[in-house]
Order: sequence, then structure tokens, then C-alpha cells
Amino acid sequence: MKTVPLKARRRSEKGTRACRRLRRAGEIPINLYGRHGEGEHQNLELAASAYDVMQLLGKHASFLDVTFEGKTEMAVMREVQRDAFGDDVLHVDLVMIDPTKPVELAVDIVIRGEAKGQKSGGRLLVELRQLHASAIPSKMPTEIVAKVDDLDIDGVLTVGQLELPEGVTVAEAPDQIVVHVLPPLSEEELAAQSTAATAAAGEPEVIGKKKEEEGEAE
Amino acid sequence: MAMLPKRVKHRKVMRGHMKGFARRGNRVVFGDHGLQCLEAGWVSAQVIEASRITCGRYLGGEGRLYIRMFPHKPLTSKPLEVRMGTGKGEPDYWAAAVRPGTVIMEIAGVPAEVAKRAFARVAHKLPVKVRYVPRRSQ
Repeated sequence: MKTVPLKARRRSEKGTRACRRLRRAGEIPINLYGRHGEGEHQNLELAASAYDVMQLLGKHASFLDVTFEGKTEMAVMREVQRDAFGDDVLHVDLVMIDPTKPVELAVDIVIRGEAKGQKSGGRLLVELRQLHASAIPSKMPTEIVAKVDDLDIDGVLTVGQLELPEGVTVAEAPDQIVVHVLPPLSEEELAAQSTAATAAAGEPEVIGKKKEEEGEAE
Repeated sequence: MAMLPKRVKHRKVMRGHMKGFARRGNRVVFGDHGLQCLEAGWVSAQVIEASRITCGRYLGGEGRLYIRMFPHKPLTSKPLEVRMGTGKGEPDYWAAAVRPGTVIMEIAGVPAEVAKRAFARVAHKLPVKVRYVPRRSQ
């Protein structure tokens, strides 16, 4: 996984209103925290251009070289807060990392090929889209490829069957299903999917109503 | 079958307010493609069922459809030619209250173009403005 540079600046202003002012000015508030080597835990308030951050998110870059006040820290994105519609980035949390120590990251699983089962009408369903991989930053893969060519109908590809690069371990159980080829829908299932089912029966049960009636009867 | 709850605490509820944005349920979680509300509204159980059928017919057995709204809210009405007053009407239909940002439907296992076309057909049924949103990894 490649490392991408990000220019930032230290910010002194904190709080909701200050962050809103920042966003109006085209910047995004960033928190950078963690330990630099064996040093003490730090929590630094930074700000970076919204355009730069959006560009980074578009590239799926995970390792960043954050430059501020003449210093450079290697960091990883821990959380990206977005608005209600998911369009704008409101805040980013970065965690400092040590390039010599393993780091845990969510790595995307990319599906390659067309399953045998798909050719005979089956439906390929992806059950797991990311793996929590652990590796030193230089060995961390950008994506993990899942080859599905050999999967027939009712075939599954599990985490244990994925080809992981050397030096990478994953937190998921080896028997966890990544991809599943379902059989084609039967005519009955197809009909049920595309027609209205029978009418609903009456009103739902009201919790506690029966008990009251029984109490009154007594 | 139009959806409705199995058990409820109260037969009738107040109309409530629909202000603010969806603070949860606003990301594509299960599928690859989502249909996101752009305004607040009540989506009736009948409309949800119509949307499911429309989408199912277009997909024709491919992929998988996830409906992420449920009609929890009972809405009442009075019969015709009845004077106002004398209490609240009887439950008439059930609806899901949706806020701007809510992802109400998701599709997995089909290309984006197919999902967009299926959602365009669903959008005609819905009482709120909607848009297509893809899944985001972050």
C-alpha cells in the first residue's frame, strides 16, 4: 500500500463553531493522535484542505505522510465522519503509526472473475467486503483479491481460501464466508418476488391489552 | 402482503414531527447500491410492497434486494360524511417515517446500471424524492 502526502497545519481553535468556520473556509478539522515511537501519547488538532482530503478518499489511500510545522508523521485514517447524505467530509481521525510495527487496517476484498455457477444461472453474493488485516506498513496490501472462477452453484469461498500476501494476517475466522453462489430462483420464488402476496390479516396484537381484559373479567 | 408489525404498544399514535436528517441508517450497508431519500415523508406499507414488486420484476431473479424501512407507524382516518370530533379515527394504514438521508432500499449482485434502472422504476412509486448512492468503503 502506497503512502500519500497530506499537507496540514496546526489549529488553535476548537469546538463546534470553530470547526464550522473552518469548513466554510474550505478546510476539514483533523485530529492526529497516538504515540511517536516510544514517546508519550499525543493528541494534535490539525486542519487540511477539504479538496486534498476528498482526493485522498477517492484514491483509497490509507497510509499518509502528514506534514505540519516542518514535521512529518506517518499516520493511518481511523475514522471519517460524513454529513447525513454521505457527500461532505466533516472530520477525520488519524492515528500515528510506527513504520516498523504491525498495524491493523480494513482492506477491501476485490472479486475477480466470473463464477462457473453464474454461467449456469446462479447468483453471486458477496458476504464479506473487507478484511481486518495486520501487517507492517510496507507489506500491507492495497486490496485482497478473491478469485471466484472455480465456484459452482452452492459453492462458497471462505477467508481461509483467500491468497494473502506474505507477512499479512487477518482477524476474521478462516471459515467465514466471503462469496457465496446461490442457485437460481425457482419459478415459485420468482413469482413470489414479482407478485403481491396475500392480504394482511387484521390488526397487530396490542401488548398488554389481553391481560387487562382478563383482569376485568375476573 | 403489505407489511405491518406483529405486536404494538399502542393501536394509535400521534402524528409526530419529521424534522432533521437521518443520523443513522444513512449508509449503504448490505448491498452494493442504495436508494437514498432526499426529503422526509411517510412511505405506506402499500407503497413499500409496490416498490418491492417493481424492483423484483425488473431484476428478474438476479441479485438480491434489501428493504431497509418498515411501516411501524399506524395512521388513522375517519369514514366519509362523518362530522369532526368524537375522538380519533380508526387505524387505516401503516407507514414508515423516513428522513432525508435514509437509505430505504439496497441491491446487491448486479451492475450499477441495472440497479439505477431498477431504482428509477421504484422512484415513480415513492412519495419522496430519492437518489442513487453507491457503497462507500470509508
